[in-house]
This record gives sequence, structure tokens and C-alpha cells, in this order.
Amino acid sequence: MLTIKSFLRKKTTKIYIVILCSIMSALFILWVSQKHYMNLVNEKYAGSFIALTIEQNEELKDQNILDIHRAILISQDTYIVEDSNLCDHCIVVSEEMAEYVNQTIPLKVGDKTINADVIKTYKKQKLFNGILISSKLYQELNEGTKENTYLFNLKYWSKWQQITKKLENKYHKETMVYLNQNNQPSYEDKIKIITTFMNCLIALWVLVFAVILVNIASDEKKIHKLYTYLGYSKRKIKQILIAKYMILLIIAATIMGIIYFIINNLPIK
Amino acid sequence: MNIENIEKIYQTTKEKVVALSEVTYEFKKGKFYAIMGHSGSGKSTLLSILGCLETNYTGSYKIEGKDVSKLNDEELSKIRMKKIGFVFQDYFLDEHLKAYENVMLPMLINSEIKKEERQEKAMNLIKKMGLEERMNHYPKALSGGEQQRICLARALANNPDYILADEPTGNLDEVNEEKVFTELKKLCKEGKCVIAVSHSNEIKKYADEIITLKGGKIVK
Repeated sequence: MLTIKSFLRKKTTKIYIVILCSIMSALFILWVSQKHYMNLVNEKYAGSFIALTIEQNEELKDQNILDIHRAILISQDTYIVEDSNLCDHCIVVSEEMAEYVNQTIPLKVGDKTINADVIKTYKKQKLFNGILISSKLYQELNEGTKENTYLFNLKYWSKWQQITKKLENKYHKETMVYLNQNNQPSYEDKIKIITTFMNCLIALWVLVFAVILVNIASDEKKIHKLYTYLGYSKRKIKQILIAKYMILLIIAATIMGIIYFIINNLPIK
Repeated sequence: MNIENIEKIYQTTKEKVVALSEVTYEFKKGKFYAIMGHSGSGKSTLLSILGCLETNYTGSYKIEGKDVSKLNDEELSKIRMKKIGFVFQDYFLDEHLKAYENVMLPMLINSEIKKEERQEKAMNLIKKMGLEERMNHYPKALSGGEQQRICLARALANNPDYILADEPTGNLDEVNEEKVFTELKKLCKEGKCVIAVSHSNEIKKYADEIITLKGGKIVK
């Protein structure tokens, strides 16, 4: 449309797009850095998990939780963990119990005993010690028990404190956090600083965008007066103004989308 | 266009200013009307009312028998779009649109002109003004006289019956002034009604009727 064509040809419109894209680019760079450090933290805490025992039997969901397994706590750090991918009477044991592979062994939990087929072993991990069992076996062993224990693996372990607090506040139960401590440096402070800068940039973007909207409305007053003379109604002029706002956003978002696409698909290892 | 007993009062915090009082006139198609008078005599106010831009007045205003004084914004906009073309002293062109794009602007809201016809129609209007070689130029690259003729072409975009010109030659030299008045006179011969506000005495050579305003009233 001609009215939008005119708007896009203006020097100030191009300046607005550059300003918005600059702030978004800075945000994007910070976001990439944040992700990089969060991945480093994940490497540091690989093998860690969080355990929570609650009375409810519900599907726990959170955008920060990578996977959840139901489990039965045998001792301080030994669990029988549900794995829904296993066949009905199958279990997987740690390497230390390799001699039992392809055998049927009794599993005893409290006063319940069930027979299970050992199909394979898993590589022993520093923090996790136990047996993986099928959903059917889990149901049988857990029958009559009021509580369920859940083991969580997180998407980003830099947020473990935030997530444990959230879980404890929601369920009023204490979590057990098994953190795989090693000598790798901690990047949590850097992540906090980056997150703070990101929040500041987001606030800045919102403020700048608001100022731009006000400026556009003011700049376009004269040309909107012309439209009135030409027979454009007030409603139509408002629509044109909103279209100008939208086109500005769309262009800035498109440019950022293209940059994101290019950077994401760069052949960098 | 028929106006009867038009009265327009501006209320400031200190006083009432009577811009127009008991103004009655009939504007017919095919005629050139010049509205003259000193500054503050009510010329621009009268033109605003005739252009359906000013709605806060008393009296009757009819266009082709239809009373427009009580219409809402959408209806008045439609009348401006279909019936009235404006020409301004400072041309009022969109500097970010080329000449032919400026002429196309009023056509965007006219559903009677198909999308594919707009550009051709605009170019034909520009040719009519003798500016064929300038149609792809931006206003900045045009002289004052050329800009005013583009403004005139734009005023004719939707083939209105009435052309309202507010000091159309105010910023032009004698040569261009003559060109603009000649074009306006041509429009009258084509059956349009031209109403022009002007301080220039040159307009008297072209106008069929001269309306002199003094203190908001028509002086005979």
C-alpha cells in the first residue's frame, strides 16, 4: 500500500529499524552466551538428579525438567526406577550385577517380592545406584503405597536451586539433590550477570519501542492531516497508523529471524 | 453547494470570536468563484466548512440537495473523497512518494477505481498537466509550479465535482500563477465548480464571481 511505502521510505523509519535490531542483536548475543554457559554447567553436573517424595500421584510437568522417572527409595541413595520402555517383567541392573543378565531374580521391597528378568546392564554412575524396572513391575511393587518418589533430570542445571525451591513450595516437601561435584569451574555467577543484562535490555527494548510509537504518531500527524483532506476517515487513518507499527515490528522480527537462522545453521562445531 | 445562514463562532477562554456570520451563498458547477478578503475575514473557515472539515457551525449546508451538516465522520469522508478535491498553498505532497504515487493516493480508498487502473489514471492526469516527464520524480525534485500542478492532478484523482483551493498560487511566481489559474479555469469549462481563496488580484481575471468577506460576512 502506498501509505506504507511512503512510511518505509522515510529515513527515520530506517533508523527505528536499526535501533530495534541493534538491541535485539545484543539480546541475541547475550542469549547465545547464556546458553553456552548453561551447557557448560550441564556438563559439570552431568549425572545429577533431584528426588522428591510426595503423596500425590500426578503428572509433574515443568519446562525446565528434562525427564522424570517414578522411583522407590530403597536406601539413602539406592532407587528402583521406573522405565516405561522396558517390557513387562524386565529389569536392568548396574554392571556390578552383570552375572545376573538373562536370569530371573527375585526383587524384594518391604514385604513384597516379585520375580523379574534381568535383560541387560547399565554403566555405573557416580550418583545413581539401583535397578531400572518396567512400569508393570513398578505398579506391582508400589501398590498400596501412598507416596511416590520422583527423580528429575533438568534441562539446565544452572537453575537447580530455583527448581528445587519451586518444587518444595508447591508440594511442601523437602527435595534431595544429588549434585555431581567435580573440578570444573562454576559459571553460575556469569549466567546471573548475563541474565541481569538481558533483563535490562528487554526493558530498554520495550521503552525504546514505546518512544518510537509515540514518535511515529507525532511524525505522521501532518501526513494524516493530508489523508483527512483526501477523504480518509478517522477510522481508516487509525488503521494505517497501526499498520505502520505492525510493519516496523514485522521487519525487525524478520531481520532477527534471518540472523538467528544463519547463526544457528553455521557449520561451527 | 448551498450554504444558508452559516455561523461559526470560536470560543476562547477570554472571548467569543465570530469567524462567520449569516453567510448564504450558492456555488454552481461550471463556475469559478474567488473568495477574497483580508486576513481574519473568515476565508479559511468558510473553505473548511465547504470542504466538510469543519462540523461545528450553525446553519444549513447542502451538497446536491443533501444536508451534510448532520453527517458523521465516515459519511463526510466519503463526500470529500468523491465530491471534493483540495489544492493547498504549500502543495501538501507526500515527499516520500513519487509524483504519480501522490496522485494515486486518493484513489486507494475509492472502490470505483480498480487497482490495476489507478496508476494509468494517475499518469494520464499528470500528462494532462503537461508533466509527463516528471511523473517518477519526488516532490523535492519539482519546482513550485510543478508541485502545484501535481497537487491539482491529485485533486482530480477521483473526478470530483468541486475543487477547493486555498491560496493555490500563494507560493508561486507570476508565470506559474498564470498556469495554475488557467488550469483551474479549464476545469470550470469541463463542468467543475472551482472555489479558490486568494489574496492575488490576478484571480479576478479568471473568476466568474468574486465573494468578498469582511468581518465574517459577505460584502456586496
